[in-house]
Amino acid sequence: MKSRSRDLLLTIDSKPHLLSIIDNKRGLMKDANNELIHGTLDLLILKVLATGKMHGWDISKRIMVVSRDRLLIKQGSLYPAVHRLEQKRLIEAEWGVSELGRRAKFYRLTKKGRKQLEAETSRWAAFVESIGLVLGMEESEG
Amino acid sequence: MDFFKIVGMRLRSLFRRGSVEKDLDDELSLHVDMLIRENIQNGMTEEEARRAAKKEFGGMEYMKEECRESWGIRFVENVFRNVRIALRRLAKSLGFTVFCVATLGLAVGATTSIFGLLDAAILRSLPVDDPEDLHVLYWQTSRRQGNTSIMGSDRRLESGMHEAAVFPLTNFVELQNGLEDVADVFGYLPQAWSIPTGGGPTMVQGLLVSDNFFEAYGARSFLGKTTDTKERGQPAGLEAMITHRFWERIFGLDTNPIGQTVSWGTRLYTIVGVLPPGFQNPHPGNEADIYALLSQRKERDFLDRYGKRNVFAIYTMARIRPGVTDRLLKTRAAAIFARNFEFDNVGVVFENPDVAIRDGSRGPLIDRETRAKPLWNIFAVAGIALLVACSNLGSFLLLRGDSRRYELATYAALGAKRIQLAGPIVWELGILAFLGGSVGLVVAGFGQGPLLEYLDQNASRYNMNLGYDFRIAGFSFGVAAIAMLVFGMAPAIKASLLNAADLKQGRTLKSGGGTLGKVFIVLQFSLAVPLAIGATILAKSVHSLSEVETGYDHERTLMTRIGFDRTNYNREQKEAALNRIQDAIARLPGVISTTVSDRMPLSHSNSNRGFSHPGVDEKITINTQNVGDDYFETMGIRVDGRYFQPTDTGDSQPVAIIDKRAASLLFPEGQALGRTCQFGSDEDYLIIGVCENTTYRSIRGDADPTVYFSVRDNDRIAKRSFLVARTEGNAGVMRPKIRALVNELEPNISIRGMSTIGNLFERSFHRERTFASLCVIMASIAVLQACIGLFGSIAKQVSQRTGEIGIRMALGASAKAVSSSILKDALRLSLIGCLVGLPVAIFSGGLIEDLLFGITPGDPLNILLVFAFFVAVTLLAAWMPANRATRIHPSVALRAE
Repeated sequence: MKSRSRDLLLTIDSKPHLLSIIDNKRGLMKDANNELIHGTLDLLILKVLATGKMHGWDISKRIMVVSRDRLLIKQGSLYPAVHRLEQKRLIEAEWGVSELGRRAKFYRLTKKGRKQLEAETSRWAAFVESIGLVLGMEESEG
Repeated sequence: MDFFKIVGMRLRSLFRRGSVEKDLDDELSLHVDMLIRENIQNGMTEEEARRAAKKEFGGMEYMKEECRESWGIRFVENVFRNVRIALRRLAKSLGFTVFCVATLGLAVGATTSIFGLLDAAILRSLPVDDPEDLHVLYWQTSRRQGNTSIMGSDRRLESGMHEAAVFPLTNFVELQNGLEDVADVFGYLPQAWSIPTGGGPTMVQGLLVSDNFFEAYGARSFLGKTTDTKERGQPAGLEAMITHRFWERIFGLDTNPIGQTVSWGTRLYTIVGVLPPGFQNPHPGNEADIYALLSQRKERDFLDRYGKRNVFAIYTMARIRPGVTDRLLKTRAAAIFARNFEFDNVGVVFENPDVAIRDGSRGPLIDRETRAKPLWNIFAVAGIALLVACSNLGSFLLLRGDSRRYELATYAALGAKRIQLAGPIVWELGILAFLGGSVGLVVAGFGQGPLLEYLDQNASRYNMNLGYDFRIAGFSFGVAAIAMLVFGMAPAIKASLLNAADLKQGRTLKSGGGTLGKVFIVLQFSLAVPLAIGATILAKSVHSLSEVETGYDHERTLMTRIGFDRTNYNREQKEAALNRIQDAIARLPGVISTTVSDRMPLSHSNSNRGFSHPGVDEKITINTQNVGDDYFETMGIRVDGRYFQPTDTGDSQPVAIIDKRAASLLFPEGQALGRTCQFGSDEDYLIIGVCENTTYRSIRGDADPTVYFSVRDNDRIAKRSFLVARTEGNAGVMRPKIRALVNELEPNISIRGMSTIGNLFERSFHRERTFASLCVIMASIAVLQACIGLFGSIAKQVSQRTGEIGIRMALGASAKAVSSSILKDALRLSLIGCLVGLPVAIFSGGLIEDLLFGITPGDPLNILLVFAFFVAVTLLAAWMPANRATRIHPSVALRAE
């Protein structure tokens, strides 16, 4: 179980940060970490879409650019997440034409999505703060 | 597996049409193209860029599946996966599955087929417009006097009131006119029609209906028009409507039946309309095929028979007008009915005449209730059998669940949730219920017809609307599902309560069904007891019934009904014909004597007279019967005094023979012979003989006193007559001979229902016999199942107690002690079951009291016998596992620990 949990966490190294989602439908158990990552990716997508409507490619590019190339959202995670959010009515989609003149699906935040974003953002902040507090604790020898 | 995948795909495309898939393709391919573009911008060649993009993008199909999953359509596939897994599990233990499905299917099938019959017989509303507005009129009286003829079912209510749904023709017309502003009163009179067809005359049922019948009843014609006369006035010629079924059978659906004719006797009817398929007339069990106007029957014969105010023959119903209360209808109708007796020529007195208005949405229920009673009984028996079967299944499912504890505990330890532990078991139950319900439906489909035949010898007359419909299917699957839910959920709940800690105990878990398993066994026994007691008391009743002394010679007396109804004989011709037949039969070798009578035992028709007699305060009601000279000799009835003789003609002093009941009623001081009585007429009848009491109405005995007159004295030997012949040896041999003789002699006279008196009485308790045999079968199955359940549970217990038993034996317990402790356990369970079942048995026995004869449900000897039987079968069932336990060697036992 332990080795699996490691996969779920953000791994930090010089390479762009990898964010992968575990597939809980394959008989593996959901656990707290998994929920967290799920929520995190959703949060990122919601946040990006809060800046305006865009299609899947743009979403991943935007996250990469804003995170200064540290967060790379794999397509295999992005699209299921986007579709899930659409099912939950947190975002809505409409078909339009991309900058290349191709038929493209543009997503945008719904009211419900905006509320969710606010709630998730403060939860994330609280989480980061509490982690920070723990990590910022003085280490003493002995 | 592939099959389910394919079905899943089909369903998916069904739900989400093609465009959704295309959208997904478009969306993802745009992303790939952007990736390629980016790669080219970064300096790759197009070829490289494409390959890199594909590589980075990874399994496109997998991702699509992920997306689809987020749409929630995997649900269908999940269902299929669960079903597939459950099926695989069930297939692995095929024997168990087949056992479960067969048990459930048979039990459900039995209940379903009876439900089907019940539904058709009494539960379903009539298929007409607004059946809830229909009402049936019943007259009631606290006491009636004078000669009445009631041509329909009547009954005595618990309050002592006498009631029937048939009204005199004249009074019916008065009701129709008098109630016009509150209800459409309509009525009908069932009549048998003899239709000449290619293969000789066929009897069909017909209804003579009132002029407004179809409109008031709420039925329309399918072809042509109805016989209703409201809009077009009385038709000039005789008109009839036929059913769709009759059209198909007689004319064929290719021919237009409108304008064709059907004849009845000498009358020729023109068909004006066809009723829709599935039409049902209001009379339960009557499948009349021809409907003609009552008002067109004006010939003397008919009016003589039905037109009098003391002849009750027309079933009367009403469609109430909106806003009218039942109460108003009742009051008005009662007043009109009371007027029926205000005429001098009626000669009948009804005390406190009243009319009751009952729900008519299912037709007049008197007949239905009598017919439904045995069905309800059998339904209850089948229901108990179903419960036994289900609790048996329950205990097996429990054992099976226990045997999977280790496996499930492993899942629990791996973190499976409660619902995931219980889920597969629930899916299995669902599939078992589905299969059981399907088998039940098939069983019911095949079983209904034969069952109806079995229950009622005249079933073909009823031709009820049987077969599948959604109610039957719903019942079948519903019962199967409820049964599985109630009796099968225990293992699922148990499984869901497992946790990782159970794994440690592992295989050594004590189980054997536990307390719940014991409850199931007790339940089975407690249900088997009422069935067994019911079966024994019914069997004894049937035996007693067949031993009843009726006063007749059962074996050597043949009786038959002779009908003149297709011919036109006048009274003299009838008599002459009867005499010719009698003489010819008497000359047949093997026939001792013959005679005629106007009544026949158990024929459900009787005529009685009420009169005053000097010396007796009470008004006397007495049955009358007109018989030929040799009646008593031929029937084997003993007479003190003398028989009727040819010299007893209309000119000499009228004579009568009375039975002992009448003798003690009329002449309480004794010595009736030689005395006279007027029997309500103005002539003195000389009592020339006193005969033994005979059974007339019912084999269960009746207390009606009877007086016999000579047919010579009375011109009452009318339309209906019975011919009696006494034979030397086997009466059955003479049957075809007599029939052939009559056919040859008088081809226009029909002979119906010839049988020995013995058969006649035997047929009268056909219902008891049928029900008894059904109970015996059900009880045997229930006992067998209870024993199987007991056997399974004890065997399991023994195998689980191997260690304990081994140690006890190592410590010196004797084999006998070990086996007796096991037997005691088993006995305790079955005896508790017996004691629980006993009050149920006595209570349910009370419900079938009318079927019992000479025994009560609480008969102590019978109960004792049944209990002894249960103890014996319990010991038998527990013996094998108990015996096996005694052969456990201590060393083996210790290894089992």
